[in-house]
Amino acid sequence: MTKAAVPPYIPAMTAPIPVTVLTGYLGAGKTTLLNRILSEPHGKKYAVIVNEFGEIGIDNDLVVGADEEVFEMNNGCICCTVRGDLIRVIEGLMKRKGRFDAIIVETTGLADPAPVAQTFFVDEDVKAKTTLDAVVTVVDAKHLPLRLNDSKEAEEQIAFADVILLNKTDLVSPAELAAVEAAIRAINRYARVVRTERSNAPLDTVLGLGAFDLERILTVEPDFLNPPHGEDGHVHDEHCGHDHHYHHGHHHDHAAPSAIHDATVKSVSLSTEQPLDDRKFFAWYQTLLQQQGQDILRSKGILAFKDEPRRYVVQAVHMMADGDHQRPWRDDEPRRSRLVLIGRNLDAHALEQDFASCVAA
Amino acid sequence: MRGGVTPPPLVETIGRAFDLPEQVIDVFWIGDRALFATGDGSVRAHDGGGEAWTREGVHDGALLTACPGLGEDILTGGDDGRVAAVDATGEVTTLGAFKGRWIEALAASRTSRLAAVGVGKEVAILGTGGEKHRFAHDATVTGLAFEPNGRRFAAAHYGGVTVSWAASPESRRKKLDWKGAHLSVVWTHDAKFIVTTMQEQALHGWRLQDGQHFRMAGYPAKIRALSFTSDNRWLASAGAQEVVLWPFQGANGPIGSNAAVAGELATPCTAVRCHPDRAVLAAGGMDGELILLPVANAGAGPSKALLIDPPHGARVTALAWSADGRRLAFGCENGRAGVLDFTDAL
Repeated sequence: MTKAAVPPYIPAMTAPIPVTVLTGYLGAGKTTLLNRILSEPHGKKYAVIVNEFGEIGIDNDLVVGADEEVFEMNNGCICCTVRGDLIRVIEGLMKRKGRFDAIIVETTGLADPAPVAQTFFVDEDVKAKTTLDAVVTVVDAKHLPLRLNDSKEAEEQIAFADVILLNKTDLVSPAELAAVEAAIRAINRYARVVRTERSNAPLDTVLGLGAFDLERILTVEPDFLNPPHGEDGHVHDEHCGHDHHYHHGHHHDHAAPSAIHDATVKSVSLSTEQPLDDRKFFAWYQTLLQQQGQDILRSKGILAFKDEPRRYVVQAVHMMADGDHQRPWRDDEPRRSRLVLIGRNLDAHALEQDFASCVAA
Repeated sequence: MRGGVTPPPLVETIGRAFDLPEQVIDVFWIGDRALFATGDGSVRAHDGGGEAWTREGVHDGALLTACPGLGEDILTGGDDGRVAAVDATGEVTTLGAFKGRWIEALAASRTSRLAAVGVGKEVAILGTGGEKHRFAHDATVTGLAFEPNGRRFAAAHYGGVTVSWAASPESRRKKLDWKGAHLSVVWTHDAKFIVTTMQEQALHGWRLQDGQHFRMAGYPAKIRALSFTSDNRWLASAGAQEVVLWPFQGANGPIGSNAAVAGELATPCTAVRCHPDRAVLAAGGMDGELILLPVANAGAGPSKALLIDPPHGARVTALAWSADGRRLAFGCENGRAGVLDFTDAL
């Protein structure tokens, strides 16, 4: 008797390649940042997908021009658009010999970030072989107030961001800078804001963030970002010490008023220390995304389900959601579930109630 | 789990497996040689005896696509913008060069001796003497196919398919519209129907005569391969664990008919190729499992499969039967590849 041959082809379990999406208005400093990423001696090999060939230094890296071809998916999901060219370029990159350490996708200044981000949820190959590391938005401290008031895209680029490079800080006064940062916070409370002068951010605040960025949802106390209650820019949340559920006659819209921009996009954070019922949660979350996904630009969360030792991590772009169980909860960390929603027309009060009703019996 | 004695896989009894250093993009037979186009820009020839030759650097960068050529050769397209022809002896010639472009859509006809190359939103028609002319399309061309007589070609793109007469850019073109992103396209052997694979994990088909069209949906995975049986009765498709067959025997094609199943893999099918003569097909899956299935009793439910190569974890990306149907070649994403000789088996 001979034993059945064990196939010698044990596949290399290669980790998905992280993708950083770089957005920002023309002139904000995207190209400067890209040049820095490509020219610094980091010993990494990057593939950069740009919307046109600019003056970008190429050394060890590959720069690919793409044509920003946005496809509407014919799948009954009205807001589902993807970047067809990006799918093709990523498929092509995967055929090349040797691996890239990371892929950076630059978008044009006027681009809506949703199709780029949704591409990572829709295509099977892109989903399997890459992972959306972070959306990095470069904004110009001097011109952001103007941009915010004359374009929907500037607001959406901030709403989508995991990291915001607040650039050209040397061109504004400290008071102006504080006002601009408050305007950013009013839209997106959970992005990390990095102040820079000539896009000179340490690269580790821009690239390779991955799970770290989701950790922020749990580890950063909103109070840390939140001016004290009663001050301009204060955001009412579960930490501000007054009772939301019985506080009538006062609309909690969770948008910090900003002197320079009347934000239509805002962030809502939902959290609980009680374990959630996974079935209740998914039923609610899926319905929410189906019904309000057009308005919910991004949502992300870390969840503790009843009788589940592992953390469940979920993120979504509009209606497209993707989630998975990750590492077990550590003994020294509170099993607190938190879900962050960034979008328009969000009824924080109703969302809080719905989220609370997902607590396991 | 199946009980009893499991026969050894066919690749061990009538074939030979080997490891290529890079992923296999596609494979084709020229005579008794299988030409493997690999992602590193190389073409490698194998026959029954072993490796015949290797041509590295056919492309400077990635080799993105390949197809049967204008004669006794294959064509390859790369991210260096080149279209190369490689013959059975390993001679490489450049058929076209499109600087700054990635060549991902490519088709050729031996009958008309024309090749169609997707160059962004345009299709360049090449002959042995070089580029002849170009056809503009509404969106980036992602898939190309000639009808069997080589006169018309179909170009798949966002929003549908455009059918053009390859030799005459002035002739009337036919647009077949359907919302969504169409990725690849095939013709039936009788050139009566055109079918596309879509980003939405569905197939869309048109009857050329009257533009009647139909949707074939329900696939859980990306549909990476389509193949018509030699008698044109069935369209075999990848994209599900079951090898799904759509009936094309009547004048209406699959309109109003149900799909049949030829057999089942353990993971979604990623490659399928019907035998050029017999009622069998080879199908490979996401995990590398490769099987041989009869098509004869399609409609009567899944039939018993013969194992060609057991699973190894990387998907089957390429399958080719030789023109005489005696040999089969396969290749996978991890570089595993093989050739089989069915002369005494079929």
